[in-house]
This record gives sequence, C-alpha cells and structure tokens, in this order.
Amino acid sequence: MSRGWTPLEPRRATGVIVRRVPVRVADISATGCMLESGLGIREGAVGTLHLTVEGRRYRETLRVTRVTSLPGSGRRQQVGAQFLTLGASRRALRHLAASMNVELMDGSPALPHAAGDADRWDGLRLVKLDGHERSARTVKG
Amino acid sequence: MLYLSEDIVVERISKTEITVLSSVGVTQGEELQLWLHHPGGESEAIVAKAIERTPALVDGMVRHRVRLSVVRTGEAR
Repeated sequence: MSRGWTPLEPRRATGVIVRRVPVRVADISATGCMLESGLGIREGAVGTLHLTVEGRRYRETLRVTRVTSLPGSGRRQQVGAQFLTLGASRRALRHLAASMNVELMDGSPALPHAAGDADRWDGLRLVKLDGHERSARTVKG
Repeated sequence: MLYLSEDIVVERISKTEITVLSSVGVTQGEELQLWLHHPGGESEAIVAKAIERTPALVDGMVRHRVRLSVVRTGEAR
C-alpha cells in the first residue's frame, strides 16, 4: 500500500471492480467469440478480452450473451460473447479475426479441458486467407 | 485473459479494508482492480483481495457484500 494514502469518504461512493478471468478461446470470428472458463461469468457482463497472437497483443471489448455449463466438467462454463464496436484500433481483435479463418489445430485435446488447462490456447489457430497461402498464427492468452 | 467490469457501491472504506456491494460474487482470495469514484469528482485506483463474501438484500434485490483487503493503491490498470 502507498504511504500516506488517505481513503476518500465512502458516502455515496461508487466504482467499478475488474475481475481477471482466465479463459480458453474455443472459437472466434469478426463479430464474437466462444470462451471456456472455470470462474462464474454471468450473461450481460461486459469486459475486455486480451490475446497475444505471434507476440502482438490484441484486445476487444465484449458483452457476454450466453453462458452454459459444460457437462461433466465441474464448474466450467462455455461463454458466448459479442464484440462491441467501440473503436477501430489496429489492435482490435475483430479486425484480425475478419481477415483469417479459424480452425482447430491437429491433435488438440477434445473439449472440455481440465480446470488446470484454463490458460492454454493451443487448441486454436488463425489461418490467413491469402489465396493459397496458409500462414497459421497460434493464439495465446 | 478476460477482464470483466462490474459496478459497485462502497459501504465502508479504511486504509486497509473496503466493503462493497456488487451484483456479482467473487471468489475468496481473488485479486481485483477497483476504480472508486466520489461525488466530488475525485477518484482512486486500488488493487484489493477478496477476503469475505456474504449475500445481502438491497432494495429487494440479492446482492453480494464483499469485504476486500487493500493490496496497493494507484496501480490499477
């Protein structure tokens, strides 16, 4: 804690909490994504998804539109989210997804993943659509 | 990594602990980033850890009363 910090009066004070939720990206497109998480996420929640693709960080704001339990996986959820078009940054994930196809990597484990694999992203890759060229980019969180 | 934002109302605050009302529960031990806004326009950024969560009925709605331990201030992203 910072020295000398004096908390402000709580009266009528409001604010925002930001939860850091490890997720696995199961699918992604230019308009939204499908995630898996072991932490409770509610429909209607808003947030920002941060991804690293080949060392470059991307982010996208989103709204959770659907949450379903993954059968036989304890508390793990499958989360559908819609990207919110709040800006046109070069680092916007939806622009990257729009220019690439998404496919599962060969040998990727079947869903659902164990809770300890929540940070793994190696089941997904983006494939660039440049004629016959297929340059895969592995997505990491 | 997914960063989810939720509105809160501050009930109590001290140099070491903050109690807030939230519409979502958090896990005990979970580290959170907070932005607190005050009526006078002041604001502060805090990193805190959830130490207790209890249900609370507020205006007929079920909310979560979350007690947070201040980890550090001025470093929230």
